[in-house]
Amino acid sequence: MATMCLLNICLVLLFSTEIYSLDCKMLHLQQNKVNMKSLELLSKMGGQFPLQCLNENRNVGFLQKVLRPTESQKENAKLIILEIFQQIFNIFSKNLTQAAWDRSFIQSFQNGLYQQIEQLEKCLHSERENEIPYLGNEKILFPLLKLKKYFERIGDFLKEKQYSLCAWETIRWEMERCLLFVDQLTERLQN
Amino acid sequence: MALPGLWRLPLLLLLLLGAVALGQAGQMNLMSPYNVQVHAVNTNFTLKWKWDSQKDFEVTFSAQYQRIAEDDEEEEEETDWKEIPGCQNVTVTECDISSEITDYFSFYNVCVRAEKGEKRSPCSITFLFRPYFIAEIGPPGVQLESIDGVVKITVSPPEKSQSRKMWSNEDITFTYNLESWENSSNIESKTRIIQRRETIYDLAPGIIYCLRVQARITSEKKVGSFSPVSCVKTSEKARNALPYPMNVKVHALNMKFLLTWDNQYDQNVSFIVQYLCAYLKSLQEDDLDKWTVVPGCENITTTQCDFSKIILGGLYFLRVQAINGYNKSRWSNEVKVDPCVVNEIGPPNVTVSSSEDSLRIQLTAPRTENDSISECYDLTYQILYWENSSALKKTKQQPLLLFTISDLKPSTLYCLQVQAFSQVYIKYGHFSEMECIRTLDAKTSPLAILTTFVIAMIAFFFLASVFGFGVYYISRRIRYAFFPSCKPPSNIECLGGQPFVSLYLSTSEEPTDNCCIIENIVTEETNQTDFKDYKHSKQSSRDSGNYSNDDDTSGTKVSEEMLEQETS
Repeated sequence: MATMCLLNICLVLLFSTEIYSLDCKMLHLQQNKVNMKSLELLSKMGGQFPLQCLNENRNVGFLQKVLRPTESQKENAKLIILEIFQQIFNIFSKNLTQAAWDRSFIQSFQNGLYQQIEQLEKCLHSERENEIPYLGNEKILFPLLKLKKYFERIGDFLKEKQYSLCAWETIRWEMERCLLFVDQLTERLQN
Repeated sequence: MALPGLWRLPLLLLLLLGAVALGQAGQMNLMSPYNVQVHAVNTNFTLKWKWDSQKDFEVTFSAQYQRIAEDDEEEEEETDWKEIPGCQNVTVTECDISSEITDYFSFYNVCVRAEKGEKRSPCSITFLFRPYFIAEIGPPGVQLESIDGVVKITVSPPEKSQSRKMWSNEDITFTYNLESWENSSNIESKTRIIQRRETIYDLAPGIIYCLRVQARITSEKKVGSFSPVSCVKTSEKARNALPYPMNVKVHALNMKFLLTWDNQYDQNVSFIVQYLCAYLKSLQEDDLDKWTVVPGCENITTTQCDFSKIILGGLYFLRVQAINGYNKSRWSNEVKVDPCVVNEIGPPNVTVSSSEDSLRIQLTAPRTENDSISECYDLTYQILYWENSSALKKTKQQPLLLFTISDLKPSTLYCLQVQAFSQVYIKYGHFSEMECIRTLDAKTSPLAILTTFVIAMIAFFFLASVFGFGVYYISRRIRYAFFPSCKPPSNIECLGGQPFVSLYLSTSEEPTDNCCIIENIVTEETNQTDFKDYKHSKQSSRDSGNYSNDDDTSGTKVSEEMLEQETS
């Protein structure tokens, strides 16, 4: 066992190439993977939409209506994705006891979002280190405000429905839409 | 305005007079406050303004506001102006307007007017603001704990205990800038980014360690104000304590993850390894009970632990503790694991074949359990190849698993190595073992050999099948002719005890006499015997037959037929 370990270490040392973190220019490729994985986990954690929840009032509006993909230009696509991820993460950190979803899938989902949030922050930080603060730069911050309002409505909806099973299922369905929207935005990271 | 020219002059005069009158009245009236501004920290909004006149204690100020709401279609809707309750008849030049600011994303308009007795100034120039944009981040709370020579920092978000929050998802939005220094030394302070819970290792014992923290929203480039400075004395190293596992490192090859640490113990020591999903560190609750034992790494005596099974995407923290009976060491320094970053990509599997001027390389991606490597990387492959005799190495890169290197010299020994490459992580995998192969001779082009071979094979099979079919056909014909499988009806077979024979067989035992009939002879010998008559009639009936009797085969056939007719 010890020799195996030694061998492993030797191998690692022998071939060790420098360990870099991620290349921000290639972020879209990795973002794609995260989008797909998150969508998969989201559908796995709860299965089919329960029939008894079909009558639930889905008065939260649609993200696509709130924010058209065309509104987000290349420079703030990263910012918008980060905001959406943070907001989704926040929602799934709320009281999930009635949701009756698979805990390990929720954990993987949250952990994946969290990793990407860190990654996006790192990339934004390195890119914009020398830029002036956005304070007052409405063009960049305005879409963020719209998002914040939208997610505020989602938070209020859950609270109002007392985090019931059907409320959660409705939101899970809505978050799937959000992730599909993020997928559209990811294309803008590419250029 | 198309007023007739005559009307213009009196109108101008009227306006002028009006302005003079107003000016005189203004001297009597109060001036409006100016430089109206709103300052905000978290959700606390303070309205401030300036007022120039000599101190006049009788002057009071009142403020009013208006909200401009937008809907999703960006259409604005203004509310009426309202007085701000906490800002009526105040004597100072600022007041708290937090109670009226409820929608942090909409626009607000505020203005202030001065009042003295019956006199009221017009409202000042309005100040338009969007609360979220002007709000500054307040100082976070900091808790320090000094145990076992390490300092544990717990940061609480700036609005932790408040019901109204400007920063709605504070758990994940904030990261923190930590500025720390040793109190006694002149070493400059260090700044780094931390999460809500951080442990500072490697501090000298018995020193006073000071720090302050500010919250930041990286994405919006907002940085808050610093917390007050807090200091803590690092604890002395406990005597006779079991040392904690040192040099804890992660090694990973093809998504097989191994945690190793130094073996520095003389006694019988066992270890326990725990992990934590990184996102739990950012959440409100304490992470103490969230640490989970890595399956298979409880009470182990080796100084390594395979934790591949817990890696399901995302970031992780790992830590080790040494245990000797009831004596437990402190937990080792925590190691943060980003699986895709720390993992080393093993060599791909390589199969090479050669032709006169090219090499064909078939690759198989580095093998991992349950295909987890593809969750991290979209691999491309880099091939390094060179002539065995030369030192010049060339490279080729592509994402496919099938390579062709062309334009090579014939009958030359080429060597190659392949490695995988991840563009996203700028990570090169390990090289495969060196493979050497000789390209084929120029004279015997492998293509020519191949085509000749293929043509020869086709020709051979064609001829063989034609021959085989011919043999089969002939044998069938023969069998049909000589040994037919069908049997004649039994009545035919048994007639006259004569066996049925093929019609094609000539019957040697029944030769037919060649007969000639000479008509005039018959007419001459009219009185001959009955027998003769009989014969004569018989012969005349087969007259035509006699004439065609020269033909052997048909003759025999006809004779046979006749024979049968006779016998029946």
